[in-house]
Amino acid sequence: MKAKSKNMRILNHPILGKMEPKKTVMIEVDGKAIVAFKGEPIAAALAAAGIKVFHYTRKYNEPRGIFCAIGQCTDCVMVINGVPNTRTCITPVEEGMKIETQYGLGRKE
Amino acid sequence: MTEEMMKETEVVVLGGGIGGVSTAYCLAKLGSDVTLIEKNELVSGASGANAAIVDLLWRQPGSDLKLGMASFELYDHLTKDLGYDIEFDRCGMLCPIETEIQFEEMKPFIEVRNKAGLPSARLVNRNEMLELEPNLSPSLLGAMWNPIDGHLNPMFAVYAFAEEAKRLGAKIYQNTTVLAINTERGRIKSVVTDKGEIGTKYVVNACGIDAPAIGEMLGVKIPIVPNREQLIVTEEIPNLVRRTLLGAGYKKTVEDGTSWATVAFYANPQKKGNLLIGGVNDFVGGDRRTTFEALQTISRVAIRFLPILKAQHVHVIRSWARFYIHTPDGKPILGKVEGLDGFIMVGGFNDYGMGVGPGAGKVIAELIYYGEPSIPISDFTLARFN
Amino acid sequence: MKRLIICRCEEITKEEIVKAIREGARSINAIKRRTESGMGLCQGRSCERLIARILNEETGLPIEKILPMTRRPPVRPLTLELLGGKIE
Repeated sequence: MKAKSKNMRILNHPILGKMEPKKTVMIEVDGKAIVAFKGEPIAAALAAAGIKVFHYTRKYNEPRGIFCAIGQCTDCVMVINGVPNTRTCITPVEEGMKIETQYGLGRKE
Repeated sequence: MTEEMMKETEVVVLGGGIGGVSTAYCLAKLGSDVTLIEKNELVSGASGANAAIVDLLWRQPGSDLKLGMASFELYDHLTKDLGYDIEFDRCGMLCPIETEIQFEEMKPFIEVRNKAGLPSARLVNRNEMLELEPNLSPSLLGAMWNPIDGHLNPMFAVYAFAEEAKRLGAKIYQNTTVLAINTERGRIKSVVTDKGEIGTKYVVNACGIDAPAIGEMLGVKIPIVPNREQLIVTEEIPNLVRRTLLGAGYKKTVEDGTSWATVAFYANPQKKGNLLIGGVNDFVGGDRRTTFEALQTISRVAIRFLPILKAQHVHVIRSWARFYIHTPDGKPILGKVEGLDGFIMVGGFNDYGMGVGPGAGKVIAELIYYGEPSIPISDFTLARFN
Repeated sequence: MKRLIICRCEEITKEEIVKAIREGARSINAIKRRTESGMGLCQGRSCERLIARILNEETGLPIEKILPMTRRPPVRPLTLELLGGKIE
């Protein structure tokens, strides 16, 4: 049972300074409502909410999350609005987006 | 793998694709001393870049069909008798029909095949087609159906033949280039490679698209030209397509406003879950690049036959181009080459090498070992082009 | 040591890659054909360099001769509907 996830945002960055107030959107992650910043990558919103596992691999059922974070490796894929294999590190959040942990190929086998 | 070339062998097979390895395997099985030489690595030509379709439905009645059946037997042999997993799945081939004219044309097509030894082939109406393949577009009229056709993993199949050939004593040299072929009094004498010279009685030219280059070394003209085919592969997506799909219009298909190429439709599921979809076909010499227009055309046509590709937002993860081994009459080139004792052709398989390659290997091995092939191949001699 | 994953997309282990090399593979394409590594969603972007290094370690082939892997469009996955354009 997960403890209440703490906010992982950097509120005061040593170089970028204080975080400015940003517009928020609500997204749904595995049925749970999460606050995200408008326009940020889905992976950032999930990381901020303390979510580390984005998908489980097909063959060995191992957990995967953010790896390269630049849209190359496909470790961060999730099912977004019903579409599997979506790279969350390069896909921006949208209001009401439905995000689900992907298991294997994300579709019934 | 030994690096230095052997001094002597009975048969040199040139080419590590489906034609070459199955010839080597069948010869080794008969007890022949075989050496296979491949310029790059095994299955790096057409055998490694195709749509993985194997079918009997589209074979010409007669020797073509018999070679296909012999190939299927060999694939079964690899799988059932020798325990190799080449993902040989006889899920059946469906050829969706778009127009009434096509439907009419397919009736005699099926009849001819039923009479020629393929009783399983038949026409199905729309309802039955959708039962067999629920995700096909309901705007299609029906399809040709052959339940015994299907697909396999072409690379695994080539590796399996090669492994078995080696186990039976064949020698395989990869990354070895043939520099010259020596003859003496109209007879093959030896093959000179960059790893040494090997004396031999026979040279089997199974070099696929490079067969003419070998022919040139001996002053033999082989009318094979590259015929570029572009195709795509999708992400792994289960349960989308159950059968091997190939539009009934086949080569003269799908008029799509594309004047620069021939457009066909095929969609072939792989065991891993990817769909191989194609294809756009043209003659551009040796240019193996893909074009954006082809990507667009293939996608557009595929959605027409399989609207679910759009509905489920299926992604293309790669496209590529390969060469069909085009011959002037669309038939293979098999058998002895006149005027040069010991020079034998295995190739010119156009776009169905995986479907007849092993059978061809078998009969050529018989031709060399026994002097007679078990399936007549006189229709396929190189001499027919003179 | 438990399995060392080299191709993350298809979950191909170092053991399988080495086996392919010992069976005769001398290029990334050949290793790809034998093991299906590099055939996943990322099309070899994550594993290309690792495979090249393993091939170099096993055979001594210089990295310059091994890389790069054949690159083909699309650069990243695109939907058929996007590529196919407007459907009548």
